[in-house]
Amino acid sequence: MVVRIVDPSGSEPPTQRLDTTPRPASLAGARIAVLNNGKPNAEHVVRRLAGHLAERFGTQEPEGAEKPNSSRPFEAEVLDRFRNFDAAVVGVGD
Amino acid sequence: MIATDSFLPLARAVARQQGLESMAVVTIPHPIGGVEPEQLDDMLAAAVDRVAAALLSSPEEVETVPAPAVHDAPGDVLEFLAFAEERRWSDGLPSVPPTEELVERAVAATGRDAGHLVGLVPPSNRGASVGAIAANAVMAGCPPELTPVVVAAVEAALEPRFNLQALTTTTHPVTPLVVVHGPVAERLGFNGGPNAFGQGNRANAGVGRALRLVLQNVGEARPGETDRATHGTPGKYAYCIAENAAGSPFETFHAARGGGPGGAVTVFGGEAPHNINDHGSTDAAGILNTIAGTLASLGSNNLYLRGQLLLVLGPEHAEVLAREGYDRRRIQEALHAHPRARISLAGVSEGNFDRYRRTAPHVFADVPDDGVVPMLDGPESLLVMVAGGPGKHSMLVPSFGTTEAVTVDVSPGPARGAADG
Repeated sequence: MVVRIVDPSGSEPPTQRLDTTPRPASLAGARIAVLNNGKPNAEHVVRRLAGHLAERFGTQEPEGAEKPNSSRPFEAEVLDRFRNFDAAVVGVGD
Repeated sequence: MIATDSFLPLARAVARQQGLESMAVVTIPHPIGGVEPEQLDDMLAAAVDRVAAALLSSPEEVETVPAPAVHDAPGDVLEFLAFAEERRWSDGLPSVPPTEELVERAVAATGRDAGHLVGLVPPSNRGASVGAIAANAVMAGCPPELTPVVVAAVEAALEPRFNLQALTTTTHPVTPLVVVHGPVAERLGFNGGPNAFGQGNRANAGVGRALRLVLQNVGEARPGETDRATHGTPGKYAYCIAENAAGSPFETFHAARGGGPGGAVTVFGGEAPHNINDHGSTDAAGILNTIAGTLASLGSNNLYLRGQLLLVLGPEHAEVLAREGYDRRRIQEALHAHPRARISLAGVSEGNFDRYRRTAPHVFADVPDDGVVPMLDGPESLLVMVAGGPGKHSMLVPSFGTTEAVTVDVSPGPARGAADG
């Protein structure tokens, strides 16, 4: 016997796929934003990685921002500061 | 994006949610917290080539195939359960097949169209239509008349100030507690009396479970993947109580929350309830002392993320307080000011204290290392209601902290001829 059931997973997300800017051919001179998710040691992780990128790949000195509360998203005006950067390093984790 | 490896599924979900499904993610070993920063340095130096490559890589196109709206499923009970589990529509308990007929009846009870979109459920941001909510309510075992309560609970949980995104993806043991209050609680047989938080009532169990199934099946909050809870909490099966309005010697919670004439639900991002046992006190001062001491907890998110806690007074404790002239406001003020509702920082580790100072500078910035801080930012940080049966117990429900309780009226449905909200 077969029963006809309604799918309980709702409708497809309406999220618009974002277009990404073309990737730079090299990181030399690139402006990198580092965004710290507010978790312990996250500042160290993103700063250290960005430091290595500057040292080994010649990016500009990174500029960063921290979430004061890891349970909230970044404020839009904070993210606006990085609008014209070449790349950003962000984190998810604990 | 950098993700600690345990968090990769969540990193992917967040990228997809933001419209960047193909975003480059580099993983590093979990965890980065709980160690001295320098201990991470070798691992970070080793990861940098992968980070550079990710920054230069072009995203690949990702194709998604929409799920069909209806399925032919096996009618055999055990085969249906396997079918549902395969699609990850399972909380581990058996569910009722959401047949077209049952879902139609559940939708009809709401007085809304099946296609009416209540909102987008994080972290998937899939759409919770009335039809999808009804399907989950059927799966949870709700009779049709409970569906409007489930719809109101989903609507409340999707209010931005509730912060469902963080609640469903956090490591913290939190889940929405649904409090049903006003005439709807009695009309539909919810339990606000003995064993209110426990088993044995179909309305409590069904509505609590239905909301969780919506979060899991629509929001794709999946344990160990996007739902990052370290332990979770038993309330993630079902967490729903009613107010004991008859046992409330002061203004009802329903009135205090501004609920409408038919009834309402309040969702609260809570941990498991913690008991407040006081058999010995015979006056208000004694009971307030015990409640205040239970409020002060080093392990609670509320210590540094602040926010609300919910006090669920047993009717006998409430009666003693009311006898001495305490109403909700006086209880809140007394507990906010209570010397026992304070935490001594002598018991807080240096690492935690540093984090607390950055997260809640208004509380911790100017306090000496051996000072004390209040648990509550203000009297109104403590929500107060009455529930439960006879006995000398009350309950304290700490919250996630970065969340606010949200109240939504339950739509009376078509039988009463009310207009669709």
